[in-house]
Amino acid sequence: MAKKEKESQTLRTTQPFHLMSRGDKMVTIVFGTVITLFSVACLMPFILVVIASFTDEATLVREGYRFIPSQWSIEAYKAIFRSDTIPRAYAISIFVTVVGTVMSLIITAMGAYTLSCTQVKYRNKIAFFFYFTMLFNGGMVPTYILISKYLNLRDSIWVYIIPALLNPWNMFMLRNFFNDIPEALKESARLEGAHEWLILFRIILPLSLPALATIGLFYALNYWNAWMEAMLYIDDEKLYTLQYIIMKIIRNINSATQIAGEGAAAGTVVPPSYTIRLATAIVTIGPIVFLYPFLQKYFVGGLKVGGVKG
Amino acid sequence: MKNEAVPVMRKKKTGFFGEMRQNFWLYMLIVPCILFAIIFKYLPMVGIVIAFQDYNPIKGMFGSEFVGLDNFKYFFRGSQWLQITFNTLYLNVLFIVTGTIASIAIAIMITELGKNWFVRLNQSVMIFPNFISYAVVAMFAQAFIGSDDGYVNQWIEMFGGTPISFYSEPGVWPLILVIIRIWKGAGYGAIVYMAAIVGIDNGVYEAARIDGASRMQTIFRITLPMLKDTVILLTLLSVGNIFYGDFGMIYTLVGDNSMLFETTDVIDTYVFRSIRTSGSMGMSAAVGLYQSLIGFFLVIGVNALAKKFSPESAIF
Amino acid sequence: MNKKIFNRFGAAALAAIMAASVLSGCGGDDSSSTASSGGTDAASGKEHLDITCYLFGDKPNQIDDVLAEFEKRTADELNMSLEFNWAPQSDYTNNIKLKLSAGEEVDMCFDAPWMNMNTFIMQGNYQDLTSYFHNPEYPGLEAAFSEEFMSNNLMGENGDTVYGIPLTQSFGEGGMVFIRGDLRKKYGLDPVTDLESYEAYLQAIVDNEPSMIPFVMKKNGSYGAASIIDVQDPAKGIAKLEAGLWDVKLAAGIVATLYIQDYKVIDCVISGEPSSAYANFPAPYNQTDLTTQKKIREWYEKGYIEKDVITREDAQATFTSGKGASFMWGAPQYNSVLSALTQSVEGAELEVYNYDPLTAQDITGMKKGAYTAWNFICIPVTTSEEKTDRIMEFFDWIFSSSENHDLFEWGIEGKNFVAVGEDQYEYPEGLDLTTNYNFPGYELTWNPNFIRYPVGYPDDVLQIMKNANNPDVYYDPLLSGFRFNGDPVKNQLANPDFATAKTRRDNLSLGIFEDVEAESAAIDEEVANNKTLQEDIAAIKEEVIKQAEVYLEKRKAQDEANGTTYPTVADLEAQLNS
Repeated sequence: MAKKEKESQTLRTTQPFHLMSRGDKMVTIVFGTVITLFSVACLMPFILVVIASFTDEATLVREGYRFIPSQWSIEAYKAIFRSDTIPRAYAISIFVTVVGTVMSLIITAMGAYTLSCTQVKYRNKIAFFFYFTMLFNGGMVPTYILISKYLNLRDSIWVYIIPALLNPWNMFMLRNFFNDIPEALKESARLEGAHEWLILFRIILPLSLPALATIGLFYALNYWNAWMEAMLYIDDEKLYTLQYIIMKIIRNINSATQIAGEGAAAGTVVPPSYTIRLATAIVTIGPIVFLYPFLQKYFVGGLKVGGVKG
Repeated sequence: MKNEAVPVMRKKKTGFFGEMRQNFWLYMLIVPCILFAIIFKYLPMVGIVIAFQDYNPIKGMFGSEFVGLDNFKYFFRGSQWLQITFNTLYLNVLFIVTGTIASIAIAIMITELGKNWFVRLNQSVMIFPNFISYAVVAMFAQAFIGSDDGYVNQWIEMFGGTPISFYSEPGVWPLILVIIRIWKGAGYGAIVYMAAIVGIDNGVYEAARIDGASRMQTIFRITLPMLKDTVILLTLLSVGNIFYGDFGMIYTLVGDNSMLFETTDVIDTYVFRSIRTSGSMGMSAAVGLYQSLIGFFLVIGVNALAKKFSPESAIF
Repeated sequence: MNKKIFNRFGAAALAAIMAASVLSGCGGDDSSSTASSGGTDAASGKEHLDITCYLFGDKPNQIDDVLAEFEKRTADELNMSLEFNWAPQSDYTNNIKLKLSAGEEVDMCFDAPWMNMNTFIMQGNYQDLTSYFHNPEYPGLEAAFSEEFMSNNLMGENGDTVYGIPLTQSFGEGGMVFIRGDLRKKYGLDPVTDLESYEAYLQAIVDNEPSMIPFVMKKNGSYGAASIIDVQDPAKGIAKLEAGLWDVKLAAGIVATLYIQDYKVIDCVISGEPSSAYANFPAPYNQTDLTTQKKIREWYEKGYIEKDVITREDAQATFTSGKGASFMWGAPQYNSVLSALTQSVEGAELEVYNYDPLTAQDITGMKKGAYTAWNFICIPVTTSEEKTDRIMEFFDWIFSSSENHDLFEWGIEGKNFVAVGEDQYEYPEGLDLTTNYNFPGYELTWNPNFIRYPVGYPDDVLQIMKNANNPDVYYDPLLSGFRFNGDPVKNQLANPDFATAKTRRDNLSLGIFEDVEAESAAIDEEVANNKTLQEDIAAIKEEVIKQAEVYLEKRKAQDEANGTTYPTVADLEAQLNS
C-alpha cells in the first residue's frame, strides 16, 4: 500500500502507454528515443574505454579504439596495482567520502535552512558573505600556510575533510530547495513550540530527500576526487587517497614521456601510458557507479506546490 | 504558497540585538558555516596582496617587495587581452546556455518517461562521461575528427564531401567544444533539475490533466515555470566565474595549436603560455584578481536583474 | 513539546561539529616533530643530521634500500640521513614555493634556469656556493668539477657566482633516428646513412604502408624534422659563427642571436622577431631563413609526416606499436625502444640512423657544445651554515669515487646493476627492470667524470652516446658561459604576445602551413605593428646586450689566456677532404 503511494508520487505518467492519447504516445516515443540515443552516446565511449583499458598498449595505438581488439592485455592494471597502497587508498577514499559527505550535509543543511527562513533579517547579507567567497580567493600560499602551519593538519586524514566541508554552491542549491517548502509547515510547527533544530531535522530534511541526495552526490564526488590535498599536505603514504595515487601515476607518465629520452638511464621501462590513463578512469569510477543508482531511490516526490506562481 | 506573504505572528523588532535575540537559534544554525568561511575563505584572502608583490616565498606575504600594479601590466600589454577576455566570456556563455538547455531537456524527458529499470539505467549511464578525463576525451576527439582516418571525415567522404581538416579550422571549434561539454556534462547537470522536478507536487499535473492539458502543455505550463528559480540560481552562480576559462578542457584539446587560437584561446590558456617559464606567483595572482573582479561586477548586475524578476532566486 | 530539550539537542549537535574540527587540529601533531635527535656516537664526532631534499618526479623504486645502504656505509664519515621528497614535475616549483612560504625545512632542492632558479637567485633565496669549489677541503668536488666546467655555470648579477651544483653529462644531445630494419630490407633499400637514403626509406613507407606514419614527431616539434634537416649542412652553421653570429638560449624556448665582432655585441635578434630585425646582420643572414621549414612542408606534402602532427603526444609509443616507421629519440633509450618494439611487432628489426653528418664522419671540433648545465641542486638561504657544510660534504662524498657515485645513480652493486670495468654496466641476470632502482640521475648525480655505458648495445648506438660526451667532437662556443638573467625584464618577457608569436613560429616547423612564407610574413607583420611588443623586445634586447658584454669581456681575457680559437669553414673543409 505504502509502496504504491510512493510510486504514484514519482510517476509522472500514471497512465499505461496503451491508454494514452495519440499525442502523448508520440511524446513518449520521441523522448524515449532521444534519451536512448543520448545514453548510447554516453555509454559507447565508456565501453570503448573499458575495452581499451584491457587492450595491449601497442595494439591500441596501432588500431585505435575497437570493440574487439586483436590483442588483450592487463598490463595497465598491473602497472596501477603495482603500487601495493591501492587497497588502502581505497579505504582512505571511502572513509573521506562517507565521513566528509555526512559532515558536509549537516552543516550545509543548517546554513541553508537559516538562509531560507524569511524572518531572518540579515539573510541576504549573510548570503552575500558566502557568495563573495566563491568569487575571490587568496590563492594557494595563504591557504597552505594556514592549513600546514597554523591548523597543523599535515599528515592528518582530516585535511581532506575540514577544508572542504562547505561548498557555498551546494548551500545555495539547498536553500532554493528549502524555499519551496511551504512556510506554513514551519510556522505551524513553531506555533506548537517546536525548536528550530527540530523543524530542520524532523520536518525540512525528510521533505528534501531528492535535494539532499543530489547535494550529497556532489559532495561525495568532490571528496572522492580529492588529490591536491594529498600532494600538498600528506607525506605519509598510508594516508594517500586513491585519486592521488592515480594522479601521480598519470602526471609522472606525462613527464616521463617528455624527458625519458634525454634523462633516464638506459633500460628504463616506459609504462603503457595510454591504457593506464584509461584504466585509471575505470578504477576510480567504480564506487561512484554504484552510488548513483543507490541515491536514485531518494528521488521521490516532494511538496513543491506548483501552479501558484506559474 | 511561497515564502512571501508569510503571516508572521511575532512583532518585528528592529535593531541588531533585537534581531539576534529573536532569531537566536536560526543564527546559531549558520554559525558553523560562517566560522568555516571566515577561517578557510576570508583569512586566506590576505593572499590577494601577492598580486601586488614581487613575491618571495622566503620573505613571505608580509616581507615581499610591493611593486604596485606591475603584475597586472604584462596581461594588458598584450594586444590580445580584449579578444581573449571576449573569447572567455563568449565560450562560457555558450557553455552555460547550451548546457542548461540540454540538462533541462534531459531532466524533463527522463521524468516524463516515468520510473522503470530502463530509464534508471539510462539515467546512470548519462553521468559516465563526467568521469572520463579530458586527456581521454582528447584521444576520442582525435578518433572522431582526425584528418587522416577520423570517423567524421570518413562519413563526409562516404557522402561525397571534401574532408575537413578540423585541427586547422578555428571556426568549428566553438561547436566542437560545446558538443564535448554537453556530452560530458549534460547528464550530470540534469541531476539537479531532476531533483527539482520530482519535488513538484503530482497533484498539480493531475489537475491539469483533468482539465484536458496535453503532456507538452504540462511541460511548458507547469514543469518549466517551476524550474525557473533553479535555472536563475544556477546561472547566477556560474556568472561569478564566467571569466575563468576551462583550462583543463581547452588546453588538453587545443594545446599550443596556434591555428585555433582565434576562437579557442581563453584568459587561462593565454596566461599559462606567457608565464609558464617564469611561473611568477604575483603575475598569476594578478590575473586571477582581474578575472574575479570583472566577474564580481557582472554578478552584481545580474543579481539585481534577478531580484527584479524572481526575488527568491536572487543570491543576495 | 519541551523547548528546553531541543535547546540541548541543538547545542549538542553544534558541539559535536566543533569537537570534530578541534580534534582534527590535533591529528597531525606528532608528525611535525621529525627534528633530528640522533646522537653523536659516530666516530667522526659529527652530530647526526637529517637532510631533506626536494626533487621532482616519482619516488624511485628501492630508494629506501639505497638510502639505508648509504647510511650504513657513511655512518662514520658523514653521519647523516637523507630524506627525499618527490612531487610531480608539473607541481614541483609551486610546491617548493609553498614549503618555503610556510617556513618548512627545505635543506636542498632541485632547480634550474627553466624553473625558478633565476628569479630565486635575484631574490637572494639561494646560497652562494662558490667557496666550496676548487677548495682542497672538498677534494671530490675539486676533481669532479674542473675550472672549465664551472666557468660555464656561473650566475648572479656579475655572472661570477656558483648558485648551484651543476648536473650534466654530455656536451650535446645524443639523438638519433630509429628506423625499422625489417621494412627497409623488405623494400630492397640500402642501409640508411644519410638524408638521401633516409628520404628513400620514408618514400618507400608512403608507397607501401599507407596505414603507417613514416616519421613520427611530437606536437611541440621537439626531436622533430627540424633537428634532422638543420644539421645537414654543417658548413652553414660554421659559416654563420664565422660571420660573428652566435645563438644563445635565454629562457626555455627563447633564443637570441647575437652579432658579435671582436667580443663586442653589434646587434641582437630574439626568436619571434620579424624579418626586418635582421637588417643589421651581415648578408645572407639579414633575412629570415625558412629553408628548413620549407623542407618540412615538403615532407608533410609527401606524406612523410602525419596530417594531425599537432595532436601527437607520444612519438615513442607510436613507433613501438608499429604505427610509425621512424622517430627520433635519445640514444640511451635504444634498449627500451627495442624491447617495446619487438614485443608488439613480430619480426620487427630496429636500426638507427645517425642523422648528424659531423659525427657520422668522425669530424672533430666542429659541433657546438660545452659543459653548460641546465640542471642544478640549490641550497636555500634558510639552511644553516653548518648544515650547508654538511650537505656539501655529502656531494663531495658522492663525487669522490665512482663507487659512491654509482650507489645513487645505479643502486646497489650486484643487486641493481653490475659495474663492468671503468665505464660500463650491465644488469644482473633475471633482474626485473620494472621494479629495479631507477633514480633520475639528472637531478642529483650526473657528472661528466662518472659515465657508464650499457654493455651489449650495438656499436653505432654506443658511438652516438660516446660522441655526445666526447670533448673532441665539440668546440666551446663563444657564449657557452653566458647565463641570461631574465629577471630584470620579466614583465617584458611575460608579454603574452611574445609567447603567442613564438608558439606560432614554432608551429612553422611542423609543416602544417601550406604557405610557410605567407604565415611567417603574417606573424612578422603582426609583431611589427605591435608597438608594445616592439618596446618590450627592445628592452629585452638591451638587457641581453648589457649582460652579454659583461660576459664577453671576461671571455676575452679567458680566450686570450687559453689561446682559444673558433672553427672556420676552411677547417671543416680540410677535415672533410682528408
